[in-house]
Amino acid sequence: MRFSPSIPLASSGINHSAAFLNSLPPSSMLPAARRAENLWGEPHFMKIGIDTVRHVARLANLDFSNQELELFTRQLDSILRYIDKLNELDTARIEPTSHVTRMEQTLREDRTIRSLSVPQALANAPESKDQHFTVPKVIG
Amino acid sequence: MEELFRLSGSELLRRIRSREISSQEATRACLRRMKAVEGRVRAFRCILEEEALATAEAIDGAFSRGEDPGSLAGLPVALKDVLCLAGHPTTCGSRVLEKFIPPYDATVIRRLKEAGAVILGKTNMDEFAMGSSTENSAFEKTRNPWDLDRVPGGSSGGSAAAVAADMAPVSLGTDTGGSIRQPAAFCGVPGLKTTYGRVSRFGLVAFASSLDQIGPFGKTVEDLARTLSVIAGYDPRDSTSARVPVPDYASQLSAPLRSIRLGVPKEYFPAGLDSQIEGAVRAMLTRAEAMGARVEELSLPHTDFSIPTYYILATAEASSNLARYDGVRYGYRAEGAHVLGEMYRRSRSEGFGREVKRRIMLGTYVLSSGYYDAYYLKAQKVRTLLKADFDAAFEKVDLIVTPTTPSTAFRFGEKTEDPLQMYLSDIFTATINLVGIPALSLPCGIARDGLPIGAQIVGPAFSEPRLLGVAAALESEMDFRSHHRPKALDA
Repeated sequence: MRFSPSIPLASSGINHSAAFLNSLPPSSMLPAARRAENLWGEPHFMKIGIDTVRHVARLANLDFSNQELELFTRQLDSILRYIDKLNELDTARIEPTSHVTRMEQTLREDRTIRSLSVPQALANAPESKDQHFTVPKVIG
Repeated sequence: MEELFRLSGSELLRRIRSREISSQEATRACLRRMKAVEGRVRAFRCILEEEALATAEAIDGAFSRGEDPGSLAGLPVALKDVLCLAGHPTTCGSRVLEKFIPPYDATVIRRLKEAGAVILGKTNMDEFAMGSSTENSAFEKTRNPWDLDRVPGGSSGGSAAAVAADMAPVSLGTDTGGSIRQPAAFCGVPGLKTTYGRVSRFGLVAFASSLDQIGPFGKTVEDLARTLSVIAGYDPRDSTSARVPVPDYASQLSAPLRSIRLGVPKEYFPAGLDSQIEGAVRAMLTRAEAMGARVEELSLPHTDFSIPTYYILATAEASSNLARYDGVRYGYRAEGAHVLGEMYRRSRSEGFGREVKRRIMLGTYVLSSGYYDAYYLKAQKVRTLLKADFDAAFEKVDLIVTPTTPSTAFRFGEKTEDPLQMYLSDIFTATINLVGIPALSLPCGIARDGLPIGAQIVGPAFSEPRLLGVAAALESEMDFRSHHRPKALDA
């Protein structure tokens, strides 16, 4: 039972997104991205470079080895190329949808209800002292 | 002798209520079945044998005193390990939460307990519900009871496999892009993704908050209906839960198919779709027509744009939601960091698996300064167009029918090596979450290799009564359970 990748939904772009979704052996995947080149046979212009990926990793509070950074650069570049498909649609006059149900604001009644005790709130903390969470010093 | 563990949840409830059997007998039957097969299936992260037997004993006591302990009294259920159960580890399939013990119950769990359900244990899943095979669990691989060399689907793979393997008659899963329906299809059981807002998300560890919904797996559609009546409803602790009355879904299952209009979107039956899957779904539609339904082809023209939209919005929300895992209040903390920032980075880098990191990275990028309009805002606008597709379709038809998945259950590692294949396993389900509408996967046939095929039935917001009614009528007509069951565990 194999699903043929030739179906219309699986436009070549889906390869890119698929690449993002999986752990890829660095050498064997993303043929489309690696082969991509312009009419003169020059390498394609990357949508995202390793410096941007390093910056995003800092924003996300994640550390990566150089090898991982290179892998993620290729994968993010590929998914972003695929996502560019959305630019085929003119959405200038379309309102954004953040929540589909368009419900009224359903704030609860403004009254005090029971909440966690301090010991309960601290029970899962890796480190705590007295009534506080404990962390390493903030400035090195 | 008839084995109790093979019975549906609804049948167990009837027998317990009539006191033909006790809840303890039903619970012991499930626990015995676990001892026999769980070693091969590995659906569970933890089994709560003592607590389950104590609850069952209390329920039996209430019945013998003439009390009514609730609409699910005595029914054994399994819970995806993304739902907070007070006093027991809730890992989300992640090293990050390996030792996390919630101090409170999720609203769905509180409601199950209040209705008299017996909690059997917590089930395995892809880390933070990100995946389609349960292979991304940090702890173990769950096997498909129909073929132990194949995945159960994901991310609610453990909950689907537990029901398919007769270890639990009913379980709860969560669905962000197909995580109930796809494993339901792979494991040959019914599974329901509810309307966004139908079920409280309080106590559900968040992946993508505008897409996540909790829903049931069961042996029958009636099992789904009975469970939904208990877990659905407004909750002041979830501001996105809807103030829409909750009907007794199980009492509305006998609606006839006559005059029901079923839409078949051509984009969901593309050229090259597996002929056995297309054949099984179309055969079900033919039966529906014979029962009086009208079947008409229609178009959902923006279908091709739904997957890029899904991956922008789901990863953006995930990157924001998973920012909370910083090693301070709960979860994994790396040893030996000297400064706070280093502690954050090392805790997250050591704790999260690769798939989770990939999604956090993409989500952080699309939300980052200068890119928000190009990606996140754009995707929110396309979401409006996708919703308009379905709004227009539901002007013409009552329900929409598609395949649940483009393939049957695949082998371990098969799609981690082949990204396109893994990716495509959610292609028919993710749009439904973007639109926030309910959809159900119903077993509708068996492929030549002996694996189940699922049909997806989709309805407008809060159409669960009709959705369940039509599914129950088709279930009764096809009688899948009498004809097929997983045999991999018979040996």
